[in-house]
Amino acid sequence: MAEATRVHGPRGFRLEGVAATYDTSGAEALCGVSLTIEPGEFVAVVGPNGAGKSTLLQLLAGLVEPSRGTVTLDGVALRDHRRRDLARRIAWLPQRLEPAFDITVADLVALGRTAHRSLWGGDDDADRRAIDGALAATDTTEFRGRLVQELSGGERQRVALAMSLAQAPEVLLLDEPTTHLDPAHAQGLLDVVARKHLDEGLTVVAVFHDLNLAALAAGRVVVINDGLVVADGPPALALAPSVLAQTFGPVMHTVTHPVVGVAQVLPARAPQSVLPLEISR
Amino acid sequence: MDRALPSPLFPGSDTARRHVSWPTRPIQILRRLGLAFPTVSLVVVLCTGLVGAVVAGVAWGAVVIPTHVVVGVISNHLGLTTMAATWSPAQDAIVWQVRFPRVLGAALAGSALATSGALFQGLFRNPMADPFVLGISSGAAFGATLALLVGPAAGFVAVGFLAPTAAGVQAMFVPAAGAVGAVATAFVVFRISRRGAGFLLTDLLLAGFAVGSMLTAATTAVLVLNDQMAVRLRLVFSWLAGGIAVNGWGHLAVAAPVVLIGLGVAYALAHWLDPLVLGEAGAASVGVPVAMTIRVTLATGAILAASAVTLGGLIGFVGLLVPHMLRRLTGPSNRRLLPACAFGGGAFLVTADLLARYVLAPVELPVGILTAMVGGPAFLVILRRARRAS
Repeated sequence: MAEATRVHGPRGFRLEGVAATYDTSGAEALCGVSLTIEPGEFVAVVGPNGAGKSTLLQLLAGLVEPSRGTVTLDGVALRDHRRRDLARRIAWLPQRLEPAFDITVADLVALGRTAHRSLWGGDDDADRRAIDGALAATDTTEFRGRLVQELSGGERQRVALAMSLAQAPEVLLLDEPTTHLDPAHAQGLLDVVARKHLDEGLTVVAVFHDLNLAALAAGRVVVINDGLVVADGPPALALAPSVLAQTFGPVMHTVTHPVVGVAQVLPARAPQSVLPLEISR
Repeated sequence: MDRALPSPLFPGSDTARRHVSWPTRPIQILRRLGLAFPTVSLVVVLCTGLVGAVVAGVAWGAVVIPTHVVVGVISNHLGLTTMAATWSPAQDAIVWQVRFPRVLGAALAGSALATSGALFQGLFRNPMADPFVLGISSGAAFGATLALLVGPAAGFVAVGFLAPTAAGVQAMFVPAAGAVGAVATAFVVFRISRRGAGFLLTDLLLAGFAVGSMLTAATTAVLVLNDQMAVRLRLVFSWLAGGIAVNGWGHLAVAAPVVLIGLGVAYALAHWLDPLVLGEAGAASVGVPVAMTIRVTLATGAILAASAVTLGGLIGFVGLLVPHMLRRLTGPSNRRLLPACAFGGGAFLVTADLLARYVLAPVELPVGILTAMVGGPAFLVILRRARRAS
């Protein structure tokens, strides 16, 4: 399906030999990544802790400058886009949203409209429609008047997603959106994202900690290790045993989901401590 | 739902109750009932409070002047009315030449301090940020004191020593030096306390403490070591301790436009300051030019604080208390908070100044001493809450 809508030419993101450093230590988080992301794709990014997944997402959001190489959007270097124009096209959702002050859900979601508003004006009809639509899509309308700080982890993450959707972006960048959620809430959140992707052609790039959710949600999985792309393709290819062994060590076992039919990953063995003594030796 | 003994006073959940503490309760209940406080009516209430405080502040003093005389004199001079004078020329002079400028000075200083505090709290994402706590007021005081020292001695008149007695550059010299000191201090404290893309509470408070202490010591050194300053030590000291030093219209002519422009710039910044509640990366991702916002906010907050210092010396904790109280009514949105602070801060300081003149009458207590006595304990309460939250 993604093939049918694919546009050739300088559309979407193009990363060429991109390296980036952590601003705290100066160590390289990414070293020479080349990647193309077409409009309308749903890409999952996976890899071990500290592989550079979050940095990749921040590069795409224009929040981190590459130390080498170029990141372009529609053929124009990301740094040459105005901040405001980028924010109208790209929404970035961090791992966990921690507003510094007590803030109501309605006020938080309205922050997503910052780039659409003029400096002096308040919310206009388009803003109100976008906010209401985002609240409805994430099923958070009932929380409107509540403080974000009072919500549970799952509710809070849905509200954070509502803020990003209110931004009316073409591209949604999600940094481990389901890490703090239980399986049911994780599914619910990804359902909202998948609906936007399928119905409205929203481009999604999401970092996942959970390989199985990545394979279920995305048509394309990018595996990153030590700051390099080590595999890129449909889940069955990207999560092949050879790739997993190289990336995570010989601890994974790839199977096919009995219902959905996509590649899924299981731990190769039980933890040593619960095994009978003679086997663990 | 099935909780035992549901209290009608606490309609929230248990989680909500943890967040609720004394001054917030009525607001939380209003919010729970879907009745968020409308900003316009809040500003109307605060504006009325400001006018009431100004009238009371002008009426009360060594000679008590009846309210209708106060209103009559002021509205006649403003050209609003042309009432026949039922009051003596002396009363007219006391109201229009002495007390009204002084009370307006207090109102402007209060507005400037509260707005400056709200700006710094939004920028540092911390309810403890305030121009006094961050040492920025001390920077302004040092700059202004230095200007008094090296500036034209003719401008240094015993009574209205801060009031510009000559036109032009000379009149602007002390306030300008105060503003330079404040802006420089603001950028230094920002640089020191920044860690990664955020600020730790302890870094912020300690940076402000260290920088503020150095500047206060430097100011004291200038006062003690210079003969010319030592003569007027008592006067300068009572200004530094936070006494409103406005003695006529001339002084307001410089400070008032600066404060009013500062309030306007602050309101325009609200749009970019609000998303900073998400952190700097979060704000950038929704379209805020973060680097520029930081620079303009630091400069505006510092210049407002410096204006307050030239009007009334080191008045502490107003920038902390007023935004803290008002934020509970408006929420963190600066579009609602900043107008509320402009009016609420003015009303607060005029009232405090009235109390400071009243408590030990006929001796006038510098208002900064009063705000420190109220603000110090409040600071500790807010600190406790901020630590619990982080």
